[in-house]
Amino acid sequence: MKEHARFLREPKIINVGAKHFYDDLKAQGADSVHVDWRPPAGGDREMAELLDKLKKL
Amino acid sequence: MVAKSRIYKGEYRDSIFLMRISQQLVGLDGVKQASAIMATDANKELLKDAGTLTDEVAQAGPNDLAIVVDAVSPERAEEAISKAREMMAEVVGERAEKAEVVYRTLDSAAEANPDSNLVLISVPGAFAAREAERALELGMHVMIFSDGVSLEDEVRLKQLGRERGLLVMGPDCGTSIINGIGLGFANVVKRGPIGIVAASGTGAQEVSSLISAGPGISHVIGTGGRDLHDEVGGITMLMGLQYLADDPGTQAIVLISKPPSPTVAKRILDATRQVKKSMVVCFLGGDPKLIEEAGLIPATTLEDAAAKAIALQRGEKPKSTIFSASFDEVKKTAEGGYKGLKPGQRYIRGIYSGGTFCSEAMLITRDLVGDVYSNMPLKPELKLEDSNRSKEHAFVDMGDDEFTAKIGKPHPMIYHELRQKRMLAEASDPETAVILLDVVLGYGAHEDPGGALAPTIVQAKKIAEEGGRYLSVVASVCGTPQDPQNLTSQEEKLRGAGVVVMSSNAQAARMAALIATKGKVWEKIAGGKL
Repeated sequence: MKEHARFLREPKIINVGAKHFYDDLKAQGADSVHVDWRPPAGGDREMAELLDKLKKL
Repeated sequence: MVAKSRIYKGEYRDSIFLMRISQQLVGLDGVKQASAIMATDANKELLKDAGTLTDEVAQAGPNDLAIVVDAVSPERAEEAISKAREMMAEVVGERAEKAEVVYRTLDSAAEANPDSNLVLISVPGAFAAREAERALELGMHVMIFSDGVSLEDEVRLKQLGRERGLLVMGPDCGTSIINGIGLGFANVVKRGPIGIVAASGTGAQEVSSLISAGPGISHVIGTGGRDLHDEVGGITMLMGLQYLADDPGTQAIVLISKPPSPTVAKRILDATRQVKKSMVVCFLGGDPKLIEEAGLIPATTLEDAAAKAIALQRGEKPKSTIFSASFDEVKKTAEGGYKGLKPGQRYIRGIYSGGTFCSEAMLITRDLVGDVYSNMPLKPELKLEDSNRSKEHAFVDMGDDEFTAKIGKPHPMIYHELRQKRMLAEASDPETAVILLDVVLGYGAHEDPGGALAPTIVQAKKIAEEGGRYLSVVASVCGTPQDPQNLTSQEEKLRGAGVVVMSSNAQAARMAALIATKGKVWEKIAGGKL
């Protein structure tokens, strides 16, 4: 069995962003969780990228 | 006019949620304009243009939530702001009641749910690539609903995904259905043996909904609109094709896209040679010869793709559908649509929420009525000088950025005000013969589009009548009877408002051409079968 078969047979979903999509997933009985996403580094994209780089060190 | 505002520092809410709140506020008594927004520079600019930028909003930052209400009195504005807070608090309360675990980051969600295998991303475009990259690093497939991701990032993410054997659907991927679960804007379809890989969200919705009335759908894999561009090279379409080729539940496969460049088309068609399943390819507006030469079945419209896939799966000879009803019935309906037209009423005005529907309708009608002007024209010389003003046959894609993101309005699949205004403007034009519409159902879409549009349609017809004219309105509804909005009831609502409802976008376009030409294109459409 191919590795990707599991994803097609049994999608287990993490929703990042719009809560509305998570509500729709739940309404369909999908196995899913929600991330109440906020902009990282106070919404400063460059700072967020810098923090990501630091994390990888 | 009184503009009142309130700032909630450091309170982040997603844009779809805020749009819904804003819409509900606009519906309140005495409220002229209302916006619940994050105070980003772009949003502040929009408020400034609308004349509702208050000093405190001007000073707020991108992490601050702002509610701005322009109302007939300060009291009404204050009431609306309180109402907005109530609505926001209700949602938080509901979540607490259900005792749902809410995660703060993708990492914490993935750690607590190690079996997760797909991440659906709908954060603002500037941050979407970052979340997608993290998801891939964690070993999960990704669907990026967000737009505003750079082409460079798309190429990078898709290459990373391919290296790790992970699918990157999107960016700007509106629709996928994985094992019956709709992601983003998707219809509730019957499960079955036909799989779809699509570079167009609404294209996927139309084909999957039509197939749902037949044998049903295994999976829909969305790729995002740029996947078949030369720079990306169709990475996701090729991987999606392989997934469906390997999937025991998929017996036939449909590929949907705008015509790719010759290089990418060749790559895709070469890959299909390895697939031992029935295949239909719809490169909307492309040359079918290339597809035939690859030994595959070409489809000229979305409905054609659905019909041919159904026939192949059933082992029947693929045939095209012109109209679902008998020609006699269609002729009668068309006559009903044009018998009241005045000689000056000659033009079709398409008012679309789905870009692919708009393109498909233009491809069909240009062969019947000639040039069609548009904000998204088939040829550069047919671009409308002003997208807000129609000229001759004119079709507008109102889901385009200029009617949505650029002016801070929600997409016409969830918000109808701009389409309604446009309908009334077209009804006032004595040259308009037919208004042509698409209505899209399913998860993600407006909860009752038929109910929202019907009163406007009645009003549009009345405007024409007062001018001594008859106005035809033709529409198709993309959806299924299982959708939350229910296809049958939506069609009934539109018919109740006097709309000629056709069973596909392609048929609606043909009907509009029949009416606008007062039946003159019968022969062209029916090929002498009348």
